[in-house]
Amino acid sequence: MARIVMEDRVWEVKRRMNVLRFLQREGINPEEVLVIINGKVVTEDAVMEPQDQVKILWVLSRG
Amino acid sequence: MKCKVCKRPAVINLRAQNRGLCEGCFDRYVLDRVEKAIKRFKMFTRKEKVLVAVSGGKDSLGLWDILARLGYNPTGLFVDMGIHRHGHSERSRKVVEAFARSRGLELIVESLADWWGKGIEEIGRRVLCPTCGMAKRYLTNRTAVEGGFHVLCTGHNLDDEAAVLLSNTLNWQVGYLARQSPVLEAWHPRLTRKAKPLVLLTERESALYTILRGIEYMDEPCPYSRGATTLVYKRLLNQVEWRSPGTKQRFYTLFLKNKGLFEGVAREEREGLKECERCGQPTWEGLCAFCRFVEGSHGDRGREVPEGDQVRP
Repeated sequence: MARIVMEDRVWEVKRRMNVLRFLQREGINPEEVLVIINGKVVTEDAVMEPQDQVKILWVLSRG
Repeated sequence: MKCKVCKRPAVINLRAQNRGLCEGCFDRYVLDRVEKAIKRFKMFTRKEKVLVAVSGGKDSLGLWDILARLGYNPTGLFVDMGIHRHGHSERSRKVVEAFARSRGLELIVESLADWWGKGIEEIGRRVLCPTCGMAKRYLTNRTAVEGGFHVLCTGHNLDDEAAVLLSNTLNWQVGYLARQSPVLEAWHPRLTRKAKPLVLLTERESALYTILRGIEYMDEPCPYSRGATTLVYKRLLNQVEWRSPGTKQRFYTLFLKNKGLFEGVAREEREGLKECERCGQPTWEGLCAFCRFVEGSHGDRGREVPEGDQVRP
């Protein structure tokens, strides 16, 4: 299953899923993150496969 | 999604421009946007001495990298504010020093403790972002002026500027609105010109550039920044941006187009500028904010703020 990490949050997704769909499901604004699948930055139309390692980077600076 | 220019896989979807860009084309896009901002707002030329305030964060390190690649020969300036909680200042300084070493760039390190005898945490009350920002502005300006730099650059991006604009508009801070600009001319010999070359790039674009360039940056926020209202405004604007791409850019550029509305206030502010009775820095009061802060604090002063010392315009 795809392992998705965002700071201290971790999800495990069994089925392939569109990045945008995942972000919207979790209430994450795509304007505020970058998504990296297996070390490559992707756009929100990319698909996460069950074996993928996914990192979601929050981009807004907080001071 | 494919890159609109070369059809390689895109790394970003620029929704406001309805196009995706691959890594190579995005890199050229970033350099072009920064060069465009520098020229459009007449920020500085390649003949001038450029100082970049670097915190160790993605924006300032990205900006330093971009200016070096564009041939502006920028010098970095790191101000150690003495934030020891979670080793924040120490770790930020290491990140900045490592970056400078890796690129062979010149770096100046200043410290609030050298000026004041103690860091921002030793005020005795809780650490306040406005106080920290004021002290940082004071030290960066003095370093730029005394070092003979023509311009001091900061890594403020479009999201930072749009959020400040929203905040100032909601609170009708007319004086702040009059002063908000991508470039602030030096109104006084003891002030340096200030420029924000990243104003045409969103925070997301700035972050992507830094990541794609492999720049190691300090990704942990200041331990005292929790609850900063700027973040609330940024998030509100991003909600609107998602529904209506290009909103942040329009909000900011149309403000700049209509900035003449505040010219009367801006003129009054310039004309009301005096010199601080203690350090000679420009101020609207008898003592500048930094000297009031130093006077109001207790304990060792450390390095005295020199009185009326010679500075290069």
